[in-house]
Amino acid sequence: MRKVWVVASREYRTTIKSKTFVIVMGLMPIFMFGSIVADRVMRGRVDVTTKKIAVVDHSGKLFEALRDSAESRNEEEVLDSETNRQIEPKFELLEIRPVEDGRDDQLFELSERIRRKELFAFIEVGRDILGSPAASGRPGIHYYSNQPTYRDVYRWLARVINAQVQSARLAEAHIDKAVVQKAMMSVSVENLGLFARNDSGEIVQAEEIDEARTMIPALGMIMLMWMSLVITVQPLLNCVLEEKMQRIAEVLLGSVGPFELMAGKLLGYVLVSLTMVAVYMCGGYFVADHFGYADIVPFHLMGWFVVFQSLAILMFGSMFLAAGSCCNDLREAQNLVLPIWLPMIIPFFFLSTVMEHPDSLFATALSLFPPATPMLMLLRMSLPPAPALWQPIVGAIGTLVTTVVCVWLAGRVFRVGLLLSGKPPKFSQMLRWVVSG
Amino acid sequence: MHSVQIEGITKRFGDTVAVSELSLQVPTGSVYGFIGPNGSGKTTTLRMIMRILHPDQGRIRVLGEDVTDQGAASDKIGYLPEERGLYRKMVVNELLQFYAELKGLRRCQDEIDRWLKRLDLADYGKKKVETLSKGMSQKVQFIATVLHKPELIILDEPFSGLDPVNMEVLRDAILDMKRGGATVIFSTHDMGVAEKMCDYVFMIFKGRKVLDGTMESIQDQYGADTIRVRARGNGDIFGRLSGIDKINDYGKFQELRLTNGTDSQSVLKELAGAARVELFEIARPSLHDIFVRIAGPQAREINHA
Repeated sequence: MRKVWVVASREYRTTIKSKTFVIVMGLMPIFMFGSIVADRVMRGRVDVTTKKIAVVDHSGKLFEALRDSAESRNEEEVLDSETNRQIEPKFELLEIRPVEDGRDDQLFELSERIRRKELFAFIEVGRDILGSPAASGRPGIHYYSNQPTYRDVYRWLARVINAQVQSARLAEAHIDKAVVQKAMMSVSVENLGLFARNDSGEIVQAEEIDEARTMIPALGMIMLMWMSLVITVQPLLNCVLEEKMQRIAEVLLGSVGPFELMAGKLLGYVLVSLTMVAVYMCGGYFVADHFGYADIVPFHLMGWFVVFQSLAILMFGSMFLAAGSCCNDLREAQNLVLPIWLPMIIPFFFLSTVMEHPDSLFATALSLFPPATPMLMLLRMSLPPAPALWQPIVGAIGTLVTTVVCVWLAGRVFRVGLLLSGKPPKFSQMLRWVVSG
Repeated sequence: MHSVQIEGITKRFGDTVAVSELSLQVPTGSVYGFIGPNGSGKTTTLRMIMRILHPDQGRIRVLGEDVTDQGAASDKIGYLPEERGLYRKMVVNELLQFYAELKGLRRCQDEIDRWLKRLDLADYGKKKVETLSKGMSQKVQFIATVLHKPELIILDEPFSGLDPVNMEVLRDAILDMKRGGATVIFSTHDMGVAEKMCDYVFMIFKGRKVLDGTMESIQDQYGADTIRVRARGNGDIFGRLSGIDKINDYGKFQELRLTNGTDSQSVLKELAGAARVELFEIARPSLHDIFVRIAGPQAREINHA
């Protein structure tokens, strides 16, 4: 055990002090959450140039209503109410008289104006747009643009035109619009937890469920585990490759047995990952505290987190080490570890299903499948209703047994692979090493 | 008393027999030289002594302990493999401390300093390994091997790549360790080094032991069939001599190997009649010569036949 600790201690100190580790620690949150932050930062920083939209109104009844709506929008919705800064583009509608003969020529000319950037888009309103939908039988509006990904104009037009058409239909049917609006007004449903009884025997009212408070800790823990797993297993692969490529492996084997060497490396990287988790947890707590969310940090699950995190690194890390020991360069190793990534990402395939029904039979069974247990069991434990205590215990035992088997198998491959040169072995050959040692 | 006792070990890699029914006894406190052509089984044998590989047959005892099926490395052994490297990003002092700790030696900076000074590396203790030259790295590797004062030192090609000065420094260090009571096993391709340093020489060829004993006993085994001569005369005077099996021309003298049963005095007589003899010395065959006889192209042809 002394030698295992000496190896672990070297791996830990070398990794923690390396520039790469510090850089990856800083970059990983950016990779994981950067898109959310970027979305927030860029929100409102949109193109605010006025969008000119031509309207070819065959019905002759819609243009004025559309223009009024656009003017109303330009006055009320495009400016930030606090800063008075323009945050949305204005829409300017131009009326184009439809021609009876030569429709195609007219639409082509309008298309050319869009290409010349004189217009942003144009719409063609059908003759029977205000009639009943059954009578017309075909879409009443055609929207033409060369920027199909810009949806704001399209959505605004669809909303305004539908409102106009509905009003017209209601009027035609002699129905008061205000009555319909009142009848169709939706009722809000309050999302609450359950009533409970406190220590003094009094019934405690059910509290309103805040989805953010429920989801953020669960997702945060999963992301944290995934980040530390990814940051850990890749350096494990690299370190064993370095020892092979730099001819260090045999020097080490003169002082330490192959299994002790592997165990030392795994232990070292478990400590690295726990250090990483501690840093991120502290950082996360301060951020949560700053925004008034300190109470959602799930300290009560920290013990389980450490157990599952450590088992996951031992389980997957041992396989990465075994693969690395059989290869002579990074390219070979990357090919060999590809199948190992699959069980690692299984939890992500079913993340939303488990989050939606954390207590279902499927979620329970999947969270007891050892490669998925660390992430999915922890996810279920952080979502109400938490699973019964026997489930994480059984999950941990199952993962522990699987981890021991993985480490043992990997150790058999590791001891042979470490001295191997030439092309990487086939799976069948590795299996022979496992059997014969 | 023997530090290493090998009894009939065989090691196969697939269909290839790397070592075949090898037996060997390394006396405690001796310097034992392993020689043999590339791929003959030297490194495999050393790895089996080190428990890095396990024999398919036979038994190995090291320092009194049966290690045939054991996996754990012993702290009483220092091992310098043929393919050796160091963590390039580590500082020399930390690296040596790490290897010492693996062997159970803690807080040994004084010992590290002493060795660095002895091998002329005193200024490099705080530098990273990547700043060292190849020779310096090799000396650091040697220090890592012997820092914990092992009872048995196994060195696979310890002198390869070293300049003569560093070679001498390392040789003195090895002999000092021997004088301190350690047993030294080393493999080498330098027959001169093996002849000068080794109490015993063992040669392996195609996985089988072909030589084992002291230099004297090996030379006795190969007889006094070699003559060193220097003579001045016209034409190819040596080619005309009878009873000569092989001629090695070293420039300043020629080494003649006599055919079996040839009397050296008759050769001298014949030579004196044909040329002016400046040197005539009946010599025992060198280790180099014996090596070539066993593993040279001629021997291979005979083996193939």
